[in-house]
Amino acid sequence: MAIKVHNPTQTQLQRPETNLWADALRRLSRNKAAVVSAIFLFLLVLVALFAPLLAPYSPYEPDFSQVRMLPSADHWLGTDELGRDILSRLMYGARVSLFVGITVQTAATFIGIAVGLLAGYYSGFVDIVLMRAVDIMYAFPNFLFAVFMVSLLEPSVGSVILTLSLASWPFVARLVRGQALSTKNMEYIMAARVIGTPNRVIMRRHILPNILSPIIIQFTLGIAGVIMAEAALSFLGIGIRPPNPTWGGMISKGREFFRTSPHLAIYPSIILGLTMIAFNFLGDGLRDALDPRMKR
Amino acid sequence: MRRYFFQRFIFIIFSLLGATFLAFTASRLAPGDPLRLMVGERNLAPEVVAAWEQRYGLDKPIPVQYLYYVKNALQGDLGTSYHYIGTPVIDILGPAILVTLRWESVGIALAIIVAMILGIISALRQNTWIDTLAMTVALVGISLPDFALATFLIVGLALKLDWLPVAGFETPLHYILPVITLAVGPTALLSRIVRSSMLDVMQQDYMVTARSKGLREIIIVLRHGLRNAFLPVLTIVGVLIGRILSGSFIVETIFNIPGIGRVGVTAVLQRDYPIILGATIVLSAAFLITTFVIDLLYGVLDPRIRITE
Repeated sequence: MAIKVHNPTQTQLQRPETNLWADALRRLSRNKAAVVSAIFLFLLVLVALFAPLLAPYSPYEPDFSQVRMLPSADHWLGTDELGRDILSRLMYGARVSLFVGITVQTAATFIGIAVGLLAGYYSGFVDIVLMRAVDIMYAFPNFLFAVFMVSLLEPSVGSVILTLSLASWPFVARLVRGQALSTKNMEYIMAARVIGTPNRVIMRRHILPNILSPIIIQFTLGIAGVIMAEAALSFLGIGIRPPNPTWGGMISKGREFFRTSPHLAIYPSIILGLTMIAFNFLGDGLRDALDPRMKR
Repeated sequence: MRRYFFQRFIFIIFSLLGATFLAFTASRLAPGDPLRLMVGERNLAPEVVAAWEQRYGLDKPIPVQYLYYVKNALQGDLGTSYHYIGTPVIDILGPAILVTLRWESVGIALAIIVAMILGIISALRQNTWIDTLAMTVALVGISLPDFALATFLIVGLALKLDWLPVAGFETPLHYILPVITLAVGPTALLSRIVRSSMLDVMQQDYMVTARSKGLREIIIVLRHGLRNAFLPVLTIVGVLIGRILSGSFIVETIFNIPGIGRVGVTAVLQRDYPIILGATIVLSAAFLITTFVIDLLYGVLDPRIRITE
């Protein structure tokens, strides 16, 4: 039943229709650092996806006539200690970093949302049991847990992903639980309950969409954390092993040639640093865009 | 107040037991017979085997073995290394912990001092170019991985300019690069918190009162502002300690410092489970105890908490 209200000034007062996401996008697009970061990350994803087409050389094939060459027209960023093209290895390394980062953070987010929603919504016994598990995970300094776990598993991409997922979900769970706790006493939730909406539907349709902003922010920042952790593990030689091209592994290998060929370690350090900075600037921009109250 | 501390204490004990049990069980599920790994290929008299089994409860199920482990750990016995056969874990971890404490405490102190200065200046000069610059640098500092930063520092300061030694742990000069590497991230993180906390405090009534009394600006900022602004800073110290402990793995490996981080990484590469387990437990305990102490400090520093509880 539609009620038509006659309003002569309607045409003058009308404001373009908008919603939370459009507003957020508009605010985000005004943040220069965040836009530049988003473009950088988009390009990085493209490079990672099309590495086999874009890379000028094989990232694995050694060429002993071209060992530790400085940057030149043939090898834009030079070659490493086995004569492999550094640019090509960086491109393939981007695949590893982004794949691990996105897979782990996606897994952590799903587990975290499930645990956090259940704990926050049901409170009581469910909450106590689930949150004690989270507390135990919090007892480990995060990276220490990862180091401990990889020591027990065979070194591979899979075990790094498993380890980092296990280490990352408690953060999301705690965040989601806190948000769910403060949302569940809202009047619209009570209204939904009164008309007999099943709990499952309330959680999915009414609570989750309302707490999506902090989850998105955490997702962005979380990817940065995971990429950093993967690089750190590979750097220490306990993550993804050579000859797989990883940024952390390249920096680690490059350290042996610091004195004569610093470019071996410098280029992967730069690209890793830029990626971290881009994720953090984008996360920061998202925080300001999605939750303007936080901005100072 | 006392009740609150008691609850926190119980919670810490619970977390520690849960975490150590998880770590213990996981490391027992790793392949290899612990006794064999502990004593190597030597032939053992049955009495010796029996003595070891009794000491570590190796013939019992894992939860019971865990109780033996806790009992022994409380007496300073964390088992013996698999790699350096027969060497007690505590003899390897003990000196390493002291080394880590020695150089990391310098780094933490540096981070706190620099972060205070940066944060206060940014807050007092809010939205000027100084503020923007400091906070952008801080975000870069938070983002930059330890080992990328170390690469730049080593190549720049130690190799190109030849000002500082590349690695090692002999003279105070050796401390400089690792301490800077360690301190940059925490400094950046802290200075952002100090800034936003200072901005909050500066708007409070008591600041206006202090100013209208005609106090000098420096006294207002330091005595009335900083003292209150410091409290929120304490809350992120937990995050900070976690980051610093993680940093010890990387920074000690890069600069070849014989601390617990490097010992831990070496143990992982050698699959020396007693050392890994010992290091994990010691570090987690250190982490939990620090957070507990911070909680206590919070009550001491902020009388308002004592009254409301």
